[in-house]
Amino acid sequence: MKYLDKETFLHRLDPRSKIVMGLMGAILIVVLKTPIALFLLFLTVLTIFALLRPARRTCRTIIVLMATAFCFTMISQGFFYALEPRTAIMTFLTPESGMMGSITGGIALYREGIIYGALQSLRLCSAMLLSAAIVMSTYPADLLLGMGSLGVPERIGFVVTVSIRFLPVLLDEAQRILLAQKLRGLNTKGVRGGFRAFRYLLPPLIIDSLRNARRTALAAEVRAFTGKRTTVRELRFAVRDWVTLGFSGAGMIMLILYQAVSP
Amino acid sequence: MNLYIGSVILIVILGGAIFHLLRTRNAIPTFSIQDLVTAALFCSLLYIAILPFKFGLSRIPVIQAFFFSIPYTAMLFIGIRMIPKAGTTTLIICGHSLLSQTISSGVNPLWWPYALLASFVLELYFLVTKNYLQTTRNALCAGFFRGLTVYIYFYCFSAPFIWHQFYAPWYIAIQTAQGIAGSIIGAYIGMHLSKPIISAFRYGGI
Repeated sequence: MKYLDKETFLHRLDPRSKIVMGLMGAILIVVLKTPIALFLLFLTVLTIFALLRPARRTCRTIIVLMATAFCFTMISQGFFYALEPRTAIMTFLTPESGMMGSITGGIALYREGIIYGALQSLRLCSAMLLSAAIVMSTYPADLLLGMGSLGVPERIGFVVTVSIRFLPVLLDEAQRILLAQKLRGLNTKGVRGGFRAFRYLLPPLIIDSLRNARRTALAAEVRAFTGKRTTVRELRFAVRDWVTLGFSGAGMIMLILYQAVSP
Repeated sequence: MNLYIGSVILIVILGGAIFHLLRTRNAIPTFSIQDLVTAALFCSLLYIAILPFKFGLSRIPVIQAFFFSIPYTAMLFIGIRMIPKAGTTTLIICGHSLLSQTISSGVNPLWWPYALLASFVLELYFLVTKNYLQTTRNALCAGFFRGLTVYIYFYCFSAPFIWHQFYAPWYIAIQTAQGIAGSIIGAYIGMHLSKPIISAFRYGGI
Protein backbone atom coordinates (compact mmCIF):
# COMPACT_ATOMS: atom_id res chain seq x y z
CA MET A 1 0.00 0.00 0.00
CA LYS A 2 1.30 3.44 -0.93
CA TYR A 3 0.26 7.00 -0.16
CA LEU A 4 -2.36 8.20 -2.66
CA ASP A 5 -1.86 11.82 -3.61
CA LYS A 6 -5.52 12.90 -3.66
CA GLU A 7 -7.75 15.47 -2.00
CA THR A 8 -10.41 13.37 -0.29
CA PHE A 9 -12.10 13.92 3.06
CA LEU A 10 -9.81 11.33 4.65
CA HIS A 11 -6.73 13.09 3.30
CA ARG A 12 -7.83 16.35 4.93
CA LEU A 13 -8.19 14.79 8.39
CA ASP A 14 -5.46 15.35 10.97
CA PRO A 15 -3.12 12.28 11.23
CA ARG A 16 -3.91 12.09 14.96
CA SER A 17 -7.62 11.62 14.30
CA LYS A 18 -6.78 8.81 11.87
CA ILE A 19 -4.52 7.16 14.45
CA VAL A 20 -7.30 7.41 17.07
CA MET A 21 -9.81 6.03 14.54
CA GLY A 22 -7.38 3.19 13.88
CA LEU A 23 -7.25 2.49 17.63
CA MET A 24 -11.04 2.47 17.83
CA GLY A 25 -11.09 0.01 14.93
CA ALA A 26 -8.51 -2.18 16.67
CA ILE A 27 -10.63 -2.20 19.85
CA LEU A 28 -13.76 -3.14 17.88
CA ILE A 29 -11.92 -5.87 15.98
CA VAL A 30 -11.04 -7.46 19.33
CA VAL A 31 -14.26 -6.79 21.24
CA LEU A 32 -16.97 -7.64 18.68
CA LYS A 33 -18.09 -11.25 18.61
CA THR A 34 -21.50 -11.62 16.95
CA PRO A 35 -21.63 -12.16 13.16
CA ILE A 36 -23.92 -9.14 12.56
CA ALA A 37 -21.72 -6.78 14.57
CA LEU A 38 -18.62 -8.02 12.73
CA PHE A 39 -20.38 -7.62 9.38
CA LEU A 40 -21.48 -4.06 10.29
CA LEU A 41 -17.90 -3.20 11.22
CA PHE A 42 -16.66 -4.62 7.92
CA LEU A 43 -19.24 -2.60 5.97
CA THR A 44 -18.29 0.61 7.81
CA VAL A 45 -14.60 0.11 7.11
CA LEU A 46 -15.37 -0.75 3.47
CA THR A 47 -17.26 2.55 3.15
CA ILE A 48 -14.33 4.46 4.68
CA PHE A 49 -12.00 2.74 2.20
CA ALA A 50 -14.34 3.56 -0.71
CA LEU A 51 -14.16 7.27 0.27
CA LEU A 52 -10.54 7.18 -0.94
CA ARG A 53 -11.70 6.35 -4.50
CA PRO A 54 -8.80 3.91 -5.00
CA ALA A 55 -7.57 2.83 -8.43
CA ARG A 56 -8.88 -0.39 -9.96
CA ARG A 57 -5.46 -2.02 -9.57
CA THR A 58 -5.40 -1.26 -5.83
CA CYS A 59 -8.91 -2.68 -5.44
CA ARG A 60 -7.84 -5.85 -7.25
CA THR A 61 -4.84 -6.26 -4.91
CA ILE A 62 -7.04 -5.72 -1.85
CA ILE A 63 -9.61 -8.25 -3.13
CA VAL A 64 -6.89 -10.86 -3.74
CA LEU A 65 -5.43 -10.26 -0.26
CA MET A 66 -8.85 -10.47 1.39
CA ALA A 67 -9.79 -13.61 -0.56
CA THR A 68 -6.55 -15.34 0.50
CA ALA A 69 -7.08 -14.31 4.14
CA PHE A 70 -10.68 -15.55 3.89
CA CYS A 71 -9.70 -18.95 2.43
CA PHE A 72 -6.76 -19.60 4.75
CA THR A 73 -8.68 -18.59 7.88
CA MET A 74 -11.56 -20.87 6.89
CA ILE A 75 -9.22 -23.79 6.25
CA SER A 76 -7.06 -23.28 9.37
CA GLN A 77 -10.04 -22.79 11.69
CA GLY A 78 -11.81 -25.71 9.97
CA PHE A 79 -8.97 -27.91 11.15
CA PHE A 80 -8.42 -26.38 14.59
CA TYR A 81 -12.02 -25.89 15.74
CA ALA A 82 -12.20 -27.42 19.22
CA LEU A 83 -15.69 -26.48 20.49
CA GLU A 84 -18.62 -28.89 20.59
CA PRO A 85 -20.84 -29.69 18.74
CA ARG A 86 -18.70 -30.12 15.61
CA THR A 87 -19.31 -32.15 12.48
CA ALA A 88 -16.36 -33.64 10.64
CA ILE A 89 -16.68 -33.20 6.86
CA MET A 90 -13.39 -34.89 6.05
CA THR A 91 -11.16 -36.96 8.34
CA PHE A 92 -7.46 -37.07 7.53
CA LEU A 93 -6.22 -38.82 10.65
CA THR A 94 -8.20 -40.57 13.40
CA PRO A 95 -6.98 -40.52 17.04
CA GLU A 96 -6.48 -44.27 16.75
CA SER A 97 -4.22 -44.13 13.68
CA GLY A 98 -0.80 -44.65 15.22
CA MET A 99 1.55 -42.23 16.93
CA MET A 100 0.64 -39.19 14.80
CA GLY A 101 -3.03 -39.78 15.56
CA SER A 102 -2.43 -39.92 19.31
CA ILE A 103 -0.19 -36.83 19.29
CA THR A 104 -2.58 -34.68 17.27
CA GLY A 105 -5.80 -36.17 18.67
CA GLY A 106 -6.90 -36.73 15.06
CA ILE A 107 -6.99 -34.28 12.17
CA ALA A 108 -10.34 -33.49 10.55
CA LEU A 109 -12.00 -30.61 8.74
CA TYR A 110 -15.05 -29.44 10.73
CA ARG A 111 -18.06 -27.68 9.22
CA GLU A 112 -18.55 -25.42 12.27
CA GLY A 113 -14.85 -24.51 12.09
CA ILE A 114 -15.15 -23.39 8.47
CA ILE A 115 -18.11 -21.14 9.38
CA TYR A 116 -16.21 -19.80 12.42
CA GLY A 117 -13.18 -19.12 10.18
CA ALA A 118 -15.34 -17.27 7.63
CA LEU A 119 -16.71 -15.03 10.40
CA GLN A 120 -13.31 -14.42 11.96
CA SER A 121 -11.83 -13.52 8.58
CA LEU A 122 -14.12 -10.45 8.69
CA ARG A 123 -11.85 -9.21 11.49
CA LEU A 124 -8.75 -9.68 9.33
CA CYS A 125 -10.40 -8.02 6.33
CA SER A 126 -11.61 -5.07 8.46
CA ALA A 127 -8.11 -4.61 9.88
CA MET A 128 -6.61 -4.84 6.39
CA LEU A 129 -9.01 -2.25 4.91
CA LEU A 130 -8.68 0.13 7.84
CA SER A 131 -4.89 0.08 7.76
CA ALA A 132 -4.93 0.47 3.97
CA ALA A 133 -7.22 3.50 4.33
CA ILE A 134 -4.91 5.12 6.92
CA VAL A 135 -1.71 4.38 5.01
CA MET A 136 -3.15 5.49 1.65
CA SER A 137 -4.53 8.77 3.01
CA THR A 138 -1.64 9.88 5.24
CA TYR A 139 1.82 10.89 4.17
CA PRO A 140 4.30 8.78 6.26
CA ALA A 141 6.03 11.88 7.67
CA ASP A 142 2.63 13.22 8.86
CA LEU A 143 1.81 9.89 10.47
CA LEU A 144 5.11 10.03 12.35
CA LEU A 145 4.42 13.63 13.34
CA GLY A 146 1.05 12.48 14.68
CA MET A 147 2.61 9.58 16.58
CA GLY A 148 5.23 11.94 18.02
CA SER A 149 2.57 14.29 19.34
CA LEU A 150 0.73 11.30 20.82
CA GLY A 151 3.79 10.34 22.88
CA VAL A 152 6.04 8.08 20.76
CA PRO A 153 9.66 8.86 21.87
CA GLU A 154 11.52 11.29 19.61
CA ARG A 155 14.47 8.99 19.04
CA ILE A 156 12.23 6.14 17.89
CA GLY A 157 10.42 8.64 15.64
CA PHE A 158 13.79 9.75 14.24
CA VAL A 159 14.81 6.13 13.57
CA VAL A 160 11.54 5.43 11.73
CA THR A 161 11.79 8.66 9.70
CA VAL A 162 15.34 7.89 8.63
CA SER A 163 14.46 4.27 7.81
CA ILE A 164 11.61 5.41 5.56
CA ARG A 165 14.13 7.60 3.70
CA PHE A 166 16.53 4.63 3.41
CA LEU A 167 13.98 2.26 1.84
CA PRO A 168 13.95 3.47 -1.79
CA VAL A 169 17.74 3.99 -1.71
CA LEU A 170 18.26 0.42 -0.46
CA LEU A 171 15.91 -1.08 -3.05
CA ASP A 172 17.74 0.77 -5.87
CA GLU A 173 21.09 -0.24 -4.46
CA ALA A 174 20.02 -3.89 -4.14
CA GLN A 175 18.87 -3.96 -7.79
CA ARG A 176 22.14 -2.39 -8.92
CA ILE A 177 24.27 -4.90 -6.97
CA LEU A 178 22.19 -7.87 -8.18
CA LEU A 179 22.53 -6.71 -11.79
CA ALA A 180 26.29 -6.38 -11.35
CA GLN A 181 26.48 -9.90 -9.81
CA LYS A 182 24.37 -11.34 -12.65
CA LEU A 183 26.66 -9.71 -15.22
CA ARG A 184 29.52 -11.45 -13.45
CA GLY A 185 27.76 -14.80 -13.93
CA LEU A 186 25.65 -15.26 -10.78
CA ASN A 187 22.72 -17.61 -11.37
CA THR A 188 19.72 -16.44 -9.35
CA LYS A 189 17.11 -18.83 -10.74
CA GLY A 190 15.23 -21.24 -8.46
CA VAL A 191 15.26 -21.58 -4.67
CA ARG A 192 19.01 -22.28 -4.50
CA GLY A 193 19.65 -19.33 -6.80
CA GLY A 194 17.55 -17.15 -4.49
CA PHE A 195 19.66 -18.13 -1.49
CA ARG A 196 22.84 -17.60 -3.51
CA ALA A 197 21.60 -14.13 -4.52
CA PHE A 198 20.87 -13.34 -0.85
CA ARG A 199 24.40 -14.38 0.09
CA TYR A 200 26.12 -12.33 -2.62
CA LEU A 201 23.82 -9.35 -2.23
CA LEU A 202 23.88 -8.78 1.50
CA PRO A 203 27.53 -7.91 2.37
CA PRO A 204 28.05 -5.34 -0.43
CA LEU A 205 24.58 -3.89 0.17
CA ILE A 206 25.15 -3.47 3.92
CA ILE A 207 28.70 -2.16 3.51
CA ASP A 208 27.57 0.40 0.95
CA SER A 209 24.56 1.39 3.07
CA LEU A 210 26.74 1.78 6.16
CA ARG A 211 28.85 4.20 4.18
CA ASN A 212 25.69 6.17 3.36
CA ALA A 213 24.55 5.97 6.99
CA ARG A 214 27.86 7.32 8.19
CA ARG A 215 27.66 10.21 5.75
CA THR A 216 24.12 11.01 6.94
CA ALA A 217 25.16 10.82 10.60
CA LEU A 218 28.18 13.07 10.00
CA ALA A 219 26.01 15.60 8.17
CA ALA A 220 23.58 15.57 11.11
CA GLU A 221 26.33 15.84 13.74
CA VAL A 222 28.07 18.80 12.14
CA ARG A 223 24.73 20.59 12.28
CA ALA A 224 24.57 19.83 16.04
CA PHE A 225 21.57 17.56 15.56
CA THR A 226 20.73 15.67 18.76
CA GLY A 227 17.75 13.60 17.74
CA LYS A 228 15.19 16.28 18.53
CA ARG A 229 13.43 17.69 15.50
CA THR A 230 11.57 20.87 14.85
CA THR A 231 9.03 20.71 12.08
CA VAL A 232 7.91 23.26 9.55
CA ARG A 233 4.43 21.77 9.49
CA GLU A 234 2.41 21.88 12.68
CA LEU A 235 -0.60 19.66 13.21
CA ARG A 236 -3.88 21.35 14.00
CA PHE A 237 -7.18 19.79 14.94
CA ALA A 238 -10.03 21.21 12.83
CA VAL A 239 -13.79 21.01 13.39
CA ARG A 240 -14.01 18.13 10.90
CA ASP A 241 -11.58 16.13 13.08
CA TRP A 242 -13.71 16.61 16.19
CA VAL A 243 -16.87 15.74 14.24
CA THR A 244 -15.29 12.61 12.71
CA LEU A 245 -13.94 11.49 16.07
CA GLY A 246 -17.33 12.14 17.67
CA PHE A 247 -19.12 10.07 15.03
CA SER A 248 -16.54 7.28 15.23
CA GLY A 249 -16.75 7.19 19.05
CA ALA A 250 -20.54 7.13 18.96
CA GLY A 251 -20.48 4.39 16.32
CA MET A 252 -18.07 2.35 18.40
CA ILE A 253 -20.23 2.64 21.53
CA MET A 254 -23.39 1.82 19.55
CA LEU A 255 -21.82 -1.31 18.03
CA ILE A 256 -20.65 -2.52 21.44
CA LEU A 257 -24.07 -1.78 22.98
CA TYR A 258 -25.83 -3.50 20.07
CA GLN A 259 -23.73 -6.58 20.69
CA ALA A 260 -24.46 -6.47 24.42
CA VAL A 261 -28.24 -6.27 24.03
CA SER A 262 -28.64 -8.55 20.98
CA PRO A 263 -29.60 -12.13 21.90
CA MET B 1 -8.63 -11.33 27.08
CA ASN B 2 -7.37 -11.83 30.63
CA LEU B 3 -4.57 -14.01 29.30
CA TYR B 4 -3.48 -11.29 26.87
CA ILE B 5 -3.58 -8.56 29.53
CA GLY B 6 -1.61 -10.87 31.84
CA SER B 7 0.98 -11.35 29.11
CA VAL B 8 1.26 -7.57 28.63
CA ILE B 9 1.84 -7.15 32.39
CA LEU B 10 4.53 -9.83 32.23
CA ILE B 11 6.23 -8.00 29.35
CA VAL B 12 6.16 -4.75 31.36
CA ILE B 13 7.73 -6.59 34.32
CA LEU B 14 10.39 -8.01 31.98
CA GLY B 15 11.11 -4.48 30.73
CA GLY B 16 11.35 -3.27 34.34
CA ALA B 17 13.77 -6.07 35.19
CA ILE B 18 15.99 -5.12 32.24
CA PHE B 19 15.94 -1.44 33.23
CA HIS B 20 16.79 -2.37 36.85
CA LEU B 21 19.68 -4.58 35.71
CA LEU B 22 21.00 -1.79 33.51
CA ARG B 23 20.74 0.75 36.33
CA THR B 24 22.47 -1.42 38.90
CA ARG B 25 25.28 -2.04 36.41
CA ASN B 26 25.47 1.64 35.47
CA ALA B 27 25.00 0.59 31.86
CA ILE B 28 22.04 2.63 30.69
CA PRO B 29 22.86 3.08 27.01
CA THR B 30 23.34 6.33 25.14
CA PHE B 31 23.10 6.29 21.39
CA SER B 32 25.08 8.60 19.15
CA ILE B 33 23.51 9.93 15.96
CA GLN B 34 25.58 7.40 14.04
CA ASP B 35 24.16 4.55 16.15
CA LEU B 36 20.63 5.81 15.53
CA VAL B 37 21.17 6.12 11.79
CA THR B 38 22.74 2.63 11.67
CA ALA B 39 19.77 1.22 13.62
CA ALA B 40 17.44 2.96 11.14
CA LEU B 41 19.35 1.36 8.30
CA PHE B 42 18.82 -2.08 9.83
CA CYS B 43 15.11 -1.37 10.33
CA SER B 44 14.88 -0.75 6.58
CA LEU B 45 17.00 -3.81 5.81
CA LEU B 46 14.72 -5.96 8.02
CA TYR B 47 11.72 -4.61 6.13
CA ILE B 48 13.32 -5.45 2.77
CA ALA B 49 14.50 -8.88 3.95
CA ILE B 50 10.96 -10.00 4.74
CA LEU B 51 9.30 -8.46 1.67
CA PRO B 52 9.20 -11.82 -0.20
CA PHE B 53 7.45 -13.25 2.85
CA LYS B 54 4.86 -10.48 2.82
CA PHE B 55 4.19 -10.95 -0.88
CA GLY B 56 3.60 -14.68 -0.91
CA LEU B 57 5.61 -16.97 1.33
CA SER B 58 3.38 -16.20 4.33
CA ARG B 59 0.50 -17.84 2.44
CA ILE B 60 2.28 -21.20 2.47
CA PRO B 61 0.70 -23.07 5.38
CA VAL B 62 2.69 -25.11 7.94
CA ILE B 63 6.21 -24.06 6.82
CA GLN B 64 5.78 -20.27 6.99
CA ALA B 65 7.54 -19.80 10.34
CA PHE B 66 10.73 -21.39 9.01
CA PHE B 67 10.89 -19.17 5.92
CA PHE B 68 10.13 -16.02 7.91
CA SER B 69 12.64 -16.45 10.71
CA ILE B 70 15.79 -17.09 8.62
CA PRO B 71 16.18 -13.70 6.88
CA TYR B 72 14.69 -11.82 9.85
CA THR B 73 17.09 -13.28 12.42
CA ALA B 74 20.09 -13.04 10.07
CA MET B 75 19.50 -9.35 9.44
CA LEU B 76 18.67 -8.56 13.06
CA PHE B 77 21.82 -10.24 14.33
CA ILE B 78 24.03 -8.42 11.83
CA GLY B 79 22.51 -5.19 13.15
CA ILE B 80 23.16 -6.15 16.78
CA ARG B 81 26.76 -7.09 15.90
CA MET B 82 27.24 -3.65 14.35
CA ILE B 83 26.02 -1.80 17.50
CA PRO B 84 26.78 -4.23 20.35
CA LYS B 85 25.13 -2.45 23.27
CA ALA B 86 22.01 -2.68 25.40
CA GLY B 87 18.97 -1.17 23.74
CA THR B 88 20.03 -1.88 20.15
CA THR B 89 17.73 -4.90 19.87
CA THR B 90 14.74 -2.92 21.14
CA LEU B 91 15.57 -0.01 18.84
CA ILE B 92 15.83 -2.21 15.74
CA ILE B 93 12.85 -4.50 16.45
CA CYS B 94 10.48 -1.76 17.63
CA GLY B 95 11.72 0.60 14.90
CA HIS B 96 11.05 -2.06 12.27
CA SER B 97 7.62 -2.81 13.76
CA LEU B 98 6.69 0.89 13.68
CA LEU B 99 8.13 1.26 10.19
CA SER B 100 6.02 -1.57 8.76
CA GLN B 101 2.96 -0.30 10.65
CA THR B 102 3.52 3.21 9.29
CA ILE B 103 4.01 2.30 5.66
CA SER B 104 2.03 -0.88 5.19
CA SER B 105 -0.09 -2.45 7.91
CA GLY B 106 -1.45 0.59 9.81
CA VAL B 107 -0.68 1.63 13.38
CA ASN B 108 -2.09 -0.94 15.82
CA PRO B 109 -0.83 -0.80 19.44
CA LEU B 110 -2.17 -4.30 20.09
CA TRP B 111 0.84 -5.63 18.18
CA TRP B 112 3.35 -3.60 20.19
CA PRO B 113 3.62 -6.10 23.08
CA TYR B 114 4.68 -8.71 20.50
CA ALA B 115 7.55 -6.49 19.29
CA LEU B 116 8.49 -5.56 22.87
CA LEU B 117 8.62 -9.21 23.96
CA ALA B 118 10.79 -10.14 20.96
CA SER B 119 13.20 -7.33 21.97
CA PHE B 120 13.16 -7.81 25.73
CA VAL B 121 13.89 -11.55 25.58
CA LEU B 122 17.04 -10.91 23.56
CA GLU B 123 18.02 -7.88 25.68
CA LEU B 124 17.72 -9.94 28.86
CA TYR B 125 19.69 -12.79 27.33
CA PHE B 126 22.51 -10.45 26.29
CA LEU B 127 22.52 -8.75 29.69
CA VAL B 128 22.67 -12.04 31.59
CA THR B 129 25.38 -13.54 29.37
CA LYS B 130 27.19 -10.16 29.08
CA ASN B 131 27.88 -11.08 25.48
CA TYR B 132 26.48 -9.25 22.44
CA LEU B 133 26.79 -12.01 19.84
CA GLN B 134 30.57 -12.14 20.12
CA THR B 135 30.60 -15.93 19.73
CA THR B 136 28.70 -18.26 17.42
CA ARG B 137 27.45 -20.24 20.41
CA ASN B 138 25.96 -17.13 21.97
CA ALA B 139 24.26 -16.25 18.67
CA LEU B 140 22.80 -19.75 18.27
CA CYS B 141 21.40 -19.66 21.85
CA ALA B 142 19.96 -16.19 21.23
CA GLY B 143 18.35 -17.51 18.03
CA PHE B 144 16.88 -20.40 20.00
CA PHE B 145 15.34 -18.08 22.64
CA ARG B 146 14.01 -15.73 19.99
CA GLY B 147 12.28 -18.55 18.10
CA LEU B 148 10.89 -20.12 21.26
CA THR B 149 9.33 -17.03 22.81
CA VAL B 150 8.16 -15.17 19.72
CA TYR B 151 6.24 -18.06 18.16
CA ILE B 152 4.69 -19.31 21.40
CA TYR B 153 3.56 -15.76 22.17
CA PHE B 154 2.14 -15.27 18.69
CA TYR B 155 0.15 -18.51 18.56
CA CYS B 156 -0.93 -18.65 22.22
CA PHE B 157 -1.58 -14.96 23.01
CA SER B 158 -1.61 -12.57 20.02
CA ALA B 159 -3.56 -14.57 17.40
CA PRO B 160 -6.30 -15.81 19.79
CA PHE B 161 -6.78 -12.34 21.29
CA ILE B 162 -6.43 -10.02 18.29
CA TRP B 163 -7.79 -12.23 15.51
CA HIS B 164 -9.83 -14.70 17.58
CA GLN B 165 -8.03 -17.53 15.80
CA PHE B 166 -7.16 -20.69 17.66
CA TYR B 167 -4.57 -23.32 16.87
CA ALA B 168 -4.14 -26.92 17.99
CA PRO B 169 -1.25 -27.55 20.43
CA TRP B 170 0.51 -29.86 17.93
CA TYR B 171 0.39 -27.10 15.26
CA ILE B 172 1.81 -24.53 17.71
CA ALA B 173 4.56 -27.03 18.57
CA ILE B 174 5.39 -27.55 14.87
CA GLN B 175 5.44 -23.79 14.17
CA THR B 176 7.56 -23.09 17.25
CA ALA B 177 10.00 -25.86 16.31
CA GLN B 178 10.28 -24.38 12.83
CA GLY B 179 10.67 -20.88 14.27
CA ILE B 180 13.49 -22.13 16.51
CA ALA B 181 15.20 -23.98 13.64
CA GLY B 182 14.82 -20.97 11.32
CA SER B 183 16.09 -18.55 13.98
CA ILE B 184 19.12 -20.74 14.72
CA ILE B 185 19.96 -21.02 11.00
CA GLY B 186 19.36 -17.27 10.63
CA ALA B 187 21.65 -16.61 13.61
CA TYR B 188 24.38 -18.71 12.02
CA ILE B 189 23.99 -16.95 8.66
CA GLY B 190 23.97 -13.57 10.42
CA MET B 191 27.20 -14.39 12.26
CA HIS B 192 28.82 -15.66 9.07
CA LEU B 193 27.79 -12.66 6.96
CA SER B 194 28.60 -10.08 9.61
CA LYS B 195 32.31 -10.99 9.70
CA PRO B 196 33.30 -9.36 6.37
CA ILE B 197 30.99 -6.43 7.12
CA ILE B 198 32.58 -5.79 10.51
CA SER B 199 36.06 -6.12 8.99
CA ALA B 200 35.14 -3.61 6.32
CA PHE B 201 33.67 -1.33 8.99
CA ARG B 202 36.80 -1.52 11.14
CA TYR B 203 39.57 -1.59 8.56
CA GLY B 204 37.98 -0.66 5.25
CA GLY B 205 37.33 2.98 6.02
CA ILE B 206 33.54 2.96 5.94
